[in-house]
Parts: sequence; C-alpha cells; structure tokens
Amino acid sequence: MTETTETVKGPVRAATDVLTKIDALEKAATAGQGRLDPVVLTEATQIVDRAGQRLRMSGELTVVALAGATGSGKSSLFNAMTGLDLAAIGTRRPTSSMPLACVWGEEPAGEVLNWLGIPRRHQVQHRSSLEDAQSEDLDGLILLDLPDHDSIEVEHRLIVDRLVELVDLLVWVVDPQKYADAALHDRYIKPYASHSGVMVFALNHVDKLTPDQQKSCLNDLERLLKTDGVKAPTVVATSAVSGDGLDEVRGLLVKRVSNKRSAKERLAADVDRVADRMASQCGTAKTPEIADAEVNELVEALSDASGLPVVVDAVRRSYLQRAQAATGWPLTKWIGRLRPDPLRGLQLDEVSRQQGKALRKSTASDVATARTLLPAATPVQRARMDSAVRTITDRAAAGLSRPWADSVRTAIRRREESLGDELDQAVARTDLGNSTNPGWWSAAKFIQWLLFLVALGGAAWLLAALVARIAGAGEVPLPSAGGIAYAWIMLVGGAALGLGLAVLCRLVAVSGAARRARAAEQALRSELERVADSHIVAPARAELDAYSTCRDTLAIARG
Amino acid sequence: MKSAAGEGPEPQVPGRDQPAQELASLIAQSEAGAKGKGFWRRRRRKNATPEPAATPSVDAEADAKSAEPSEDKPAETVKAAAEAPTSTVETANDESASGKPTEAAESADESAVETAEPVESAEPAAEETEKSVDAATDAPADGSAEADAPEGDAATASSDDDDESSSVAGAEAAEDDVAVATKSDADDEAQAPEAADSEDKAAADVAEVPEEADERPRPTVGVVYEPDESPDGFPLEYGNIIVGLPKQGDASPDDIDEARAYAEELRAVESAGVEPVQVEPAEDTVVEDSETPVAEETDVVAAESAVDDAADEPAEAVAADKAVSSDEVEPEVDDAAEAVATTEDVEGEAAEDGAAEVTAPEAEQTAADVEPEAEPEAAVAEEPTEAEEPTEAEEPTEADEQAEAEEPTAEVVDDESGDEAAEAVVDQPDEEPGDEVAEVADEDSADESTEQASEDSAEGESAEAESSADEVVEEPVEVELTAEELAEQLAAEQAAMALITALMKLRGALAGSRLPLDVVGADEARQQQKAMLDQLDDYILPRLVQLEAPILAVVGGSTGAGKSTLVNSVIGKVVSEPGVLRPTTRSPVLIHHPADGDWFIGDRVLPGMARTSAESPGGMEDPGQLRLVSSDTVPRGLAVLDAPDIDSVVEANRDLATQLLAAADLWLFVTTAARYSDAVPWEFLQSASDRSTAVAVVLDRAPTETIDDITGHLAQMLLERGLGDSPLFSIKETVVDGNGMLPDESVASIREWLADLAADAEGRAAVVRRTLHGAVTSMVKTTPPFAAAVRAQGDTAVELRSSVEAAYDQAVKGIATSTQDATLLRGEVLARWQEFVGTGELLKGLQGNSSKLREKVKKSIGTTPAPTRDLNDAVESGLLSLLIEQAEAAAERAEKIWQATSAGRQLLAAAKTAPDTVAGEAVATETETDTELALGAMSPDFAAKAERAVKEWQAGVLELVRKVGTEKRLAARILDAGVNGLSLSVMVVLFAENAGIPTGAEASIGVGSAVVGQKLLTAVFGDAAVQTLMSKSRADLDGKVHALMDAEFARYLAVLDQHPVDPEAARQLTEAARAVEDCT
Repeated sequence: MTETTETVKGPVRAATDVLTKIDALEKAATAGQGRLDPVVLTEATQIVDRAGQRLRMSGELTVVALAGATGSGKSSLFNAMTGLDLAAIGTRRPTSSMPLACVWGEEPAGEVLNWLGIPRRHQVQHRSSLEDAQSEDLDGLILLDLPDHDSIEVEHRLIVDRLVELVDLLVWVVDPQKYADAALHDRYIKPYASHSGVMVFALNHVDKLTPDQQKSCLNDLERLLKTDGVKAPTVVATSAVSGDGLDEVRGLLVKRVSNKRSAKERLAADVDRVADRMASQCGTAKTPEIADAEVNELVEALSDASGLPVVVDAVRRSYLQRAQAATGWPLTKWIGRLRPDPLRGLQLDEVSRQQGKALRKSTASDVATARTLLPAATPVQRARMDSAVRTITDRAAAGLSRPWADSVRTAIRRREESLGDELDQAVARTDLGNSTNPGWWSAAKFIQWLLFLVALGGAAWLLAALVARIAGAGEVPLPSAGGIAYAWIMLVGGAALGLGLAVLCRLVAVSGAARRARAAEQALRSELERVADSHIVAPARAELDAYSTCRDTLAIARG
Repeated sequence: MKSAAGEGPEPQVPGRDQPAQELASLIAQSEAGAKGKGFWRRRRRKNATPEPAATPSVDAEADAKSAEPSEDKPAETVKAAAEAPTSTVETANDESASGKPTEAAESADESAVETAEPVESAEPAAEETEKSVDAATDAPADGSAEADAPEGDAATASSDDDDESSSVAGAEAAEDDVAVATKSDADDEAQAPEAADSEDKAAADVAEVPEEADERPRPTVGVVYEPDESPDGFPLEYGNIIVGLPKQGDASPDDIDEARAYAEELRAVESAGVEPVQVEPAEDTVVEDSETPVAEETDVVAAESAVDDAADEPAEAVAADKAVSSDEVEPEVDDAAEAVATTEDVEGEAAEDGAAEVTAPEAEQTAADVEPEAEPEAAVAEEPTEAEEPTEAEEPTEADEQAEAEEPTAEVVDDESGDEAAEAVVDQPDEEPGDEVAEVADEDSADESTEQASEDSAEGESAEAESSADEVVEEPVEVELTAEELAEQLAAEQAAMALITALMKLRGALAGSRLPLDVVGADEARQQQKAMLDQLDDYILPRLVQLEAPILAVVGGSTGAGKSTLVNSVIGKVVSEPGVLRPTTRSPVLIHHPADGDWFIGDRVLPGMARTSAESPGGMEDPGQLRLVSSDTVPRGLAVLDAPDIDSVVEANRDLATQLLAAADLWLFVTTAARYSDAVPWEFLQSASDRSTAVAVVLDRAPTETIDDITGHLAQMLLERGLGDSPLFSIKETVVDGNGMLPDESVASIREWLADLAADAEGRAAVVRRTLHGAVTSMVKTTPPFAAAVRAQGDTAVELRSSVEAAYDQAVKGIATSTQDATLLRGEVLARWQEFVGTGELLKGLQGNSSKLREKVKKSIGTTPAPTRDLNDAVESGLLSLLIEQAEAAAERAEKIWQATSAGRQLLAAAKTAPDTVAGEAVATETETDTELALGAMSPDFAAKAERAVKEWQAGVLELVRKVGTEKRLAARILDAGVNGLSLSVMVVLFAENAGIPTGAEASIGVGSAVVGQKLLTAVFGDAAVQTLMSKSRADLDGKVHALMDAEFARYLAVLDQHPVDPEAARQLTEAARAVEDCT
C-alpha cells in the first residue's frame, strides 16, 4: 500500500498526465452539467470515479482479461498461459460461468481482485504452484479468464460487461467461426475503438486452418477491426492446441507487465473516449462576446418598454405641480391641488416613497413592491424589446454547438419570462426623488406668505380707514410716502410681489423639474441596466463561461 | 385450336368479364368441370409423387414407369415420339403450325418445335392405332411408342402448362386449366372439327386463339397474390379473385361462350365439306387440350378421333388433325395396348403420362374406386359409376376407374351425340382426374375404345358443338348432385378462400395502418408491421394460394456454421461458395428441381427479391437478389434456400436472413459445436418455437470425441425450448474434399430425410400445414399488440389535439372573463376614462349647449386633447394586449403539454422544420430561433390580426350605437358629437359587466366609473336598448376572439394533420385478425 501512495503522488510522468486528464474531465463534466447529454456526463463521472479507485490501488499490478465468445478457447488459452489446468475446458456451451483469476508474483492483489469482484475461491497464486524462472517476467500480472459474452446465459454477459470496463488490458479471443459476429463487434469493439492501445486480438484455433486460410482470416479480421474504428489493431494468431502464438502473447504480456503503464493507459483511453464524445457535443468554437452596443440597445428597448418616458414625464409634472403648490401665490395655488399628482396616477408616489425608505434601510433589491399603474408596453415596444433580447441571444449563441446554444437560449429565456414584472418592479423601486422637496420651496413659501400678509395688512389698513370714515370718525390720515399711502403700497406691493414671486418660482421650478426628471431618468436607467444585466446578460455570460471552461478542460482531458 | 385454347383458359378466369353466354348449360358444365378438375388436379399433384405405389395395383408395368419418371420420361418419350412421327408424318406441317400456337399459348416454355413434333408423331400414332385396332399386338407396340410420345407430350405439355400456369398464376390456375382443357375437350370434340378446320385454314385465327389463351391464363395469375400491384393492401383484384374462385362457374361459362363463338366463327370460315376434317379438327382441339394439361382427356378424345381417323384414315390428309389426333391416338393406342395386353408398356406409358401430372392418383383411383383422400376423385368415381351403366360394353378387367372412364366415354358415345360424349368426357375429367379418363380410355379395350371413340368422334363430328350444349349442362349438374364429396371439397376450398380473404383484409389493414407519431413503442410497432407484411407477402399468402407448391426449406444459422458447405454437400454440387472469411454467403441461393423451377421463377415467394439464374456461385453478389439454381439432385417438391447468416456484422445479412426464415416452410437450422449455445440463434429458434414453425436442427462441426455429449446437450436445450420434436442431425467435424464437400456419409442422413420428406406427400403437407398454421396463428396473436400500438397512435393524436384545444379554450375563457370583470378598467383605460368623464368631455358632447365659440377657441389654441381618441386608443391597446397575452399564454401552454410527450416533441420538431424549408435563405441561426418559437408563441401576424379585430369591434360598437341612437331619434348633433363617447361608454360598461364585488381599490374605481357610464347610457337610450347594445357588442367581441384563437389553434391542427392517424385502423386490424382467427 505504501507503494500505492507513491504511485499516486509519484512524479511519474504518465501518472501526472492521467491525473491531469482525469481532473480536467471532472471539471468539464461539472461545467457541462445540465447542458450536455446526461448519459455522457454520467459516464464521465463514472470514469472519474473509477479512475480514482484504480489509481488508489497498486500500480504494480496489471490486470489482463481474456474475453471472447463461447467456444473460442478462452479457457484453453488461459490454461496454456498459466501452464496450469485451472480453467474448466469443455465442449458443452457455455463452459465458464465465473471469471477466474491467476496472479503472478508477490504483489498483494487482494484489493484489486476485490475491486474486480473476483471471489476468493476463483483466485490462484501462480507463484505458489509453479517454480518457473520464466514466470518472473510476468510478476505483477493478474490474468482473468472471463465468461463468454454471447451465449444464452445473460449473467455471463453482465459479468463481461462489468469487467471489460475495469481491466487494464483486454485480450479478445476470437476464432475463425465467430470472428465476424455482430455480438462482438457491435457491442464491444466499435464502442471501444479508442482503446486500441489496450486491446489485443487473438485469433484462436488457427490449427484448424491451412496457412493460406489463416492468413486471409487474419487479414479479414484486421479489416473488420479497422472498419470498426480500431486504428492499429494488434492481432495474434494463436492455438492453445498447437501452441502457436502463445509465446507472442506472452511476450506482449511481459512487456505490458514490466512497464506497469497499462492501468494508466487504460484509464487514459477511457478518458479519451468519453472526452471525445463530450467534445463532439461541446464543440470547440471560440467563445462569443456580448458587445456593449447590444447591451445599450437592450437597455434602450427596456426603458422604452418599461414606460420610462411616462414616468419621467410624470416626475416632471409632479415636480411642477408640487412646486406650484408650495410656491404659488397663496390665493390661487389651491387650484392646482385639484389636479391629481401624475405620479400618484401611476401609483409611484406613495410606493416609491415607502420603497425609498425601505430601500434605504435594507438596501435589498428584492423588496416586494406593488405593481405600478404604468401602461403596458405597446406591441411595438414589446417587439423592440424582444428583438433586442434576441439579438443578444443570437450573439451569445453564435457558433456554439447545439447543446450550448440551447443552454444559452434557455438561460436567457428563463429570465426573460419575468422581465416584464422585473421592469415594473425596477421602476417602482427606483427613488424618483419626489419624496424630498428643494429648500427654496419653503423659503419661497415663507416669502409668499410674508408678502401675502403684507398685502393683507395693507388691505386691512385701508379697510379700517374706510370703516372709520364711514363711521364719521373723520378722515384718518393715511401715512404715505411720496403721495401714496403705505397701506396701498402694502396691498398692491404685497400682491404684486407675491404674484411676481410665484411666476419667478414657476420659472425656477420648470428648470428644477427638468433637472429632477433627468435625475429620475438616470436613476431609472441605471436600475434598468441592472435588470438587463441580471436577466439577460449575466445568464448568457454564465453559460458562456461554463462553455469556455468545459471546452478548455476537455481539450486538456483529450491531451 | 381456337376453341380449345379459348375454352381452356376461360374457366381459369372465373371472375373476368367475358362476352355473353350462349350456352348456359355449357357454362354450368364448365363450372362443374372446373371445380371438379381443379380439386382433382390438386389432389393428384400432391399425391403424384408419393403414390406411385398405388399405380402398380392398376398396372404393374405402368407403375414402374408412371411412378417416378412422370417428369423425365414424358420428355424422353416425347422426343422419341417426335422422331418417329416426324418421319412418318410429313403432312404435319400445317398441324404443327396449328399445334404450335396452342402450345405456345399454353406452354410458352416448350419449344414449338417439340410440340409440333409430338403432334406429328401423334398422327402416325393415329394411323398405327387404327392398325392396332385391327391387329392388336403389333400395332400396340408402335402405338404405344407413339402413344407414349403424344402422351408424353401431353403430359409434359400439361405439366409444363401446369408449371407455367402455376408459375404465373399458381397451382389453382393450372388446375383450372386442366379443367378447362377437359371441358374444352368436350366442347372441342363437338366444336373442334370446325375449329380445327378453321385453324388449319386460318393460321391467323389460331394465332389469335393462343394469344387469348395466354391472356386468359393470366387472369388466373391474378389469383396469385401480387403485392407490388396492390400497394394499398387490398385491391379490387383480390376481391375478384376471392369472389371468383369459389364461383368458378360464372366466369367459365363466358369463356365457353367465347370458345363457342370462336368455334362458330371457325365453322363459318370453314363451311361445309369438312366432315373428314371435322374429325381431325376435333382431334386437333383435343390435341391442344392434351397439350394443355389434360393428357388423358386428350387421349380419350384422341382415341376417339384416332378411331375415326383410322376408320376414315383422313389423319394423314389433315396434318393438323393428325397432330392433334396423334396425342389422342396415343391414348387410344394405350387403351388398345392395354386391351390387347401386349402393349403393357403403352399402358404404363399412358399411366405415366397421366402420371406425369398425376400418376399416383390415377393409380389410386384405379386401385380403389373411391379413395377417401381424393374427394374429387371420389366424386368422379361416383359419377363414372353412373356413367358406367351405359358403358357396360367396356371390358373393365381393370379398376373401376377405368370402367368409369370408359363408361363416360361410352355413355357419351351411346347416349348422346358425339358432343355429349365429349362433354361427358369433359365432365369426367373435370370431376375426375384427366388421367383417370385417360386410363379409362386406356383400360377400355382398344376395340371398344376405338369403337366408342369412333362413334363418339363420328357423332361428335356429325353433331357439332352447338348441340352438345344441352347435354353438357345436364351432365355437370349430375356430377354436382352426385358428388357430395365434391361439395365437401368445395366447402374446404371455400374455407381456404375465406382464410385468404381474411388474410388479405388483414394485410390491407396492416398496410393501411400508419404510425406517424413517436409514441412509446412506435418503433417496435413499425418493425412489427414490416415483419408482418413481409411474412404475409413472402409466405403466408402465396403458400395459401398454392398449397401444393414445393416445400421451401431455408437453411439458416450463424455465420461460419457451414451452411453453404452443408447445402453443397446435400445437393452434391457447388451451388453456394463456402469460405473461411465471415460472413461468406451474402446473397441467398435457392436450389430446386428443374421441374419445380416455375414455382420460383415468378414472384410467388419473396416477391420483393429479384431473381437471377447465374449458375456459378460468387460473382456479383447482390443481397437483394435471389439466385435460382436448378438441380435434379434436389428431390422434386422440395427446394432448398441457402440463406445468409443471422449474426454477423453485416446487418443486411441479418435482416435478409430474418426475412427468408419467415418465408420458409421448414427451417434447416445449422449450428456448430462452438455455437450451439449462442444467444442470437436461440432467439430465432425461440421465435420458431413460438410460431410452431417446422424446424430441423443440424449440429455441424461436432468434434468426433464429444459429438454425443454435445448432441445430447443440444437436444436437451431444444426440448427445454419447445422444439423437442424437431429432427436433430449432427455432423462430425471432418475434412472437406476438393470441392469443399462434406463426405457423403456425413450428410446422408439429412439428404435422406429431405428426400423422404419430399417423397412423402402427407409429411410434406403436414410440414406446410404446421408452419402455415403457426404463421397464421402468430399473425393473429401479434395483431392485437400491434393494433394496440395503432390505437395508441389514435389516442395520442386525440390527446394532443384536445390538450391544445383546452389550452385555447382557456384562452378564450380568460379573455371573456377579463373583458367582463373590470380588469381592463385600470391603468391607462381607467385614467383616460376618468379624464374623459372628469373633464366633462362626455357631457359636453351630449349637452350640446357648449358654446361653439368656446369650442372653436379651444380648438384654435389646441389645448383640447382629444379625450375620446385617447380613451379609444387606451381601450384598444388594453384589449389588444389582453388578446396577445392570452394567445401567448395559450401557445405556451399548448407547447408545454406537447413538449411533455415524445409524440408532441416530434410534432413540434416537424413544425420547426416545415417553416425552415419555407424560410429558405434566412440566416440559419435566425430561422432557428424563429422557428423554435413557432408553436410555442403566438403566430407572428397575430398582433396585426388582433389589432384589426379590435378595431373592427370598436367600429362595430360605434356603428351599433349610432344605429340605436337613430332609432331613438336622438338629436343629430348629439349623435355627431356624442356617439364616440357613448360607444366608449358601452365598452367600458361592457368591461365591467360581471365585475361582481370589486376586490381592490383600483377595481372599485373602475366599477364605479362603469356605473357612471351605465347610468349615462340608460339615461340616453333607455334600459332595454342598453341591454341589446351590451349583448350585441359582447357577442361581436366573443365571435372575434373565437375567430382569432381558432386561427391560432389551427396551426397546431395543421401539424397534427401532417401526421394523419386513422382512428379506425385499430378496429379494422382487430376485426381482420378475428376474421382470420375464425377461419383457422
């Protein structure tokens, strides 16, 4: 076990390669989660798990399995290789029903065999029974004799299916009768075509063929394998009866066992295989960029659709109205009160006031807000918004493979559904600034009232003088300045000044309203930008990031 | 010639339209004859090979020849005869010419020359027969030789005809032909003279006749199931066939009529003075007949004619007559031979000739008068017995049949005119095998026969065809009455036809079933549909139509099991190239006996596969081609098909093998010691077991030392899987010889077994019955699951449709609710309404006392916003957005439901691709997104349509208000100024019609404002008028909404309609299956 850890941590180049690949595959699978085909992702995860398990175990051991159809002579070959009469050979089909393992050397193999699921009674220590110097070459070899994969016994097939995934090197034992069976090629060779490095094909029973037949048979087998996608198939002609080709097989095994790389090669092949499949789905296109111009256009469309101009106008009118109410001439300003506040018509006054407070307190953006009474977006506005969203979607999905393009679209569409509400909320929660009144309003109001009082005082003075004259109290001299009585000056001056001030304030208020409207527009816009970002751009970018990760890590995983 | 040809084919085509019937009696006769003969023929066919044993009982000598040589001998004899005759008869040219056409008509295969030769030979035979009659012993020999020839010809001709017809039409057709021929013989005898003359004289006519004959036989071809011509599964042709077959009589009369017409024409042409010729013509016709299928009849007739000829000795004069007569004469010769007993050979030959077609049956018949097996025969036998009475004169040393046969002839001769006799003969042949008749003739002493024949012929000649009709009619009736067995046979036949009808219906239902939707199991159902159709086309229907066709043993099994080697070894000839490379055999090879070739050349079996007859294996191997190899080492009545493997990497092989195995009567399943427990072959065997297909298993390549063990194990496995009764052969692993053949002893058991099977009619029939029954049963069994799949399609379609319907119903309802519960009266609409009401615009418009000056001033200043327009727009946009919202929601709902099912997804995808193709040049990504939303969103032009609809509605309301206002005699000015406001009030009130208790402040405001409007309207129009205004406006709105939503809904329907599902299909399938079940 100490060696095991060494192997894992060791600076062996191949190991790091495999580890890197596995790590990359894991990352890619995570990035592709929910986007790529779940079947492939599951497979990738399984391979990552399996690789972890295998690498945790002894790297000194090489697991080789003899697999093949019933009657192809797996057991005979097994016996010939071990030099023992371990595997039952029979003419009744199917013969072997359980995998049989033979271990060469002293390396503790219990853990590996356990992992492989070989029962203890089917394990044999080669060393213990054979004193053959030659066998030292094979120290570290675990040779498995698998059941058949094509007989009527379904259990056998299940065992083979499981072990084929686990072993480090597969020796496919085929025979002249069965080498073209669909059961072999369609189920085990085509799907594992990338494993050509860890597969060996032994054409058994060649003793039954003439040399010519043997040759053409081998060629045909090679041709079939290449058709299956195996790039450089290793084909050996063997015969357990005559002993042909056994040395060649042994030589191959010795090489594999001695370099101790089979396990990693196998895992690398597994990773390659699943990474290839993932890559074919993922694609390698450059990550698309979302341009600012498109985002701006989106915000424009959103502001249009969200009724921003209406709100801004309402803010302006509201400001004016309130300014007039505050700074108008006291005698006439009540008339303005008769008109409803435009913001209140949109239900933006109270709400926003409350919201403003709440916002300022909590700073949370998701405070529940009541819907505004903003008019719904017109079809034109909606169309513009849709098209802006679509432009961004298309841009974000441009060039991506199908699954990713779909995931980008889905991500955007998922948020787009709530966009209408979100815009409304955004408007509603924006502080339009109408909760605070400018300071000069009160000053103006004070002056207005002052002037009004002066005028009122002048009027009262005149009235008192008039009453006195009527009552016969005589002419009450009105102090005057320059020939004009102060009372008149007070009355007329106060009124005139009040009216003038009202007009002046009106003028000031207009510019103030414009300013306030601009401010409100700014606030609304930035709020809408946030919405656009959180609902359209950010989801798209998240998908694109995932895509980049997946693509890059897959590239690493594929070496 | 014409008459013969014409008549011959006619009966075959029962269902066909034919010219009017001149002689109903003839028709009836022909019908009866056709039926009787048809069945009989079949019988004989089946029995022929196996029954040789029976023949001996009749004539020991005849047996020997008749037994096997049936096929081969005829040809030889024909040749011999041909040679001899040619020398003797020089005049034959004319005859040969005439004979050729007929033959050509009947048997295209045979070379005209050959046929001509026999004909010629026949003439000499006739002469000889005459002589033989005089001097028994010597003549018989010659006669026999010659007779053999003609008979052989006839036999071959008949066989050929049969084959051809079968190949074209099937066994039934052949039978029909025979029947027709026999009938025609009768008629011919009557009419023949004329016909013959005319023929001789006018070769053109003859030529025509043959053509007709060709054409007519084809109709019978129609009986054969021809899937290619009937893509829709259940074409009219079937109906005709089905209807026609049981009622063969209907059509046949017509044919006869035609034939008659021909004969008459011929006569007209010939005119008088052809008396001698008449005899000959009769012969000719007879010959033709004989050439066709009925050798025996022809023989009889020939005998008669020959006798006549002998008497008159005109045979030489009229070559054609001779040719014809020669055939006839031969039979006579046979008869004579028999009678004389010296020419046993002749008899044998005659028997053989007859046997060529149906030797065995004849033998049986002769042996036992009424054999249980051959119902028709029995019937015949009975009939003959009746006939026997008159023909006591016979010298029936032989079997009753002979007596019978003689009797008929005798009867004919005695009782009735020659025509009648001919008819009698015909009837007998019809009911009884022609062979029997022939035999009878043979059996009858030469003298008698000759006498009778002469009499008959004479009579027949004298009394021409016309007179015969009545008699003919009578006879058939008798036959029918007497033949209960025939009735049984008919019933059986009708049962078979009923089964075929039911299966045809099932096939039609199958082919008509469509599975366009991707519901769960649809793929399997589609495969099942194909498999079922294939099996019906490839096997069940052709086999049912031609039960007597050779048995087809398909050699199937794993790749490398040694199928080809086994086939080669069994056949004894390299017909299929074995090899070590897998898979070896890619195109199937069918090996048959040369005489059986016609069964397979046409597309009786495996109609979907092209035929090739390349002799050498290898070469261009097209998996879609079926290579036909004829080899006489294959026992007759059996064909071996070397199929590709079932488990190699070549998928086409696997599919083809599956199809071939489904078309087999018998599986010869080859496996090896290394393979016998493979899963794939056992799947096939299991299916065979389930279908109770006849299977024989060959364990190939078994190591010598363990062969017993493995064989035992395999036998046990077979037993476990319900195949315990299957023969199991094991072949030791040996070295093949230079030709790649296994040693003889290895395959001897298989070869013997096959030969036994081929020779054993019962066994063969049992195999066929078993496999056929199993196939039909499994067809019946698999139909319900398939019907369920079809039903699932229908259900799914309905479900998909109703879900969309529900989605849009909901939208309509939603709109209806929203336009009544004041939800529209908020936001913009409410604001504008308040503005409208609050600013007094409404009242202003109504009061009309607002100063015009002020208006003008206001207008000039431009301060007056147009509140009515604002409100109008607000209502419009409010309604519009409601419509759009609901349409979108409905589309989303519908798409979501569809997305949830695989069939729905498939439809959505189809809808996606459809616009794509239309869109064309649009950028890929754009179209993608566009179409992706196609069904999930409202249609692109919905907004425009909705806007138009809303505007129309508003205009409608306006118009309505104006109309009501006019009725109410409101001041014109009010109408002018206030109608807008009033109509808006109507809308607003309408929107709050069902408001109920307002739930929110805003809603209450809306309702409140609506109340104002209501009051206003009531004040202006009165309560009742307001009510009508409201209801009319509501109805208008609802109608428009419905129309809009229906248009949206239609998009889904259109997609659904692209995948039509027949809701009736499942029921039809079930019914068809039940009907099939009832027939089995």
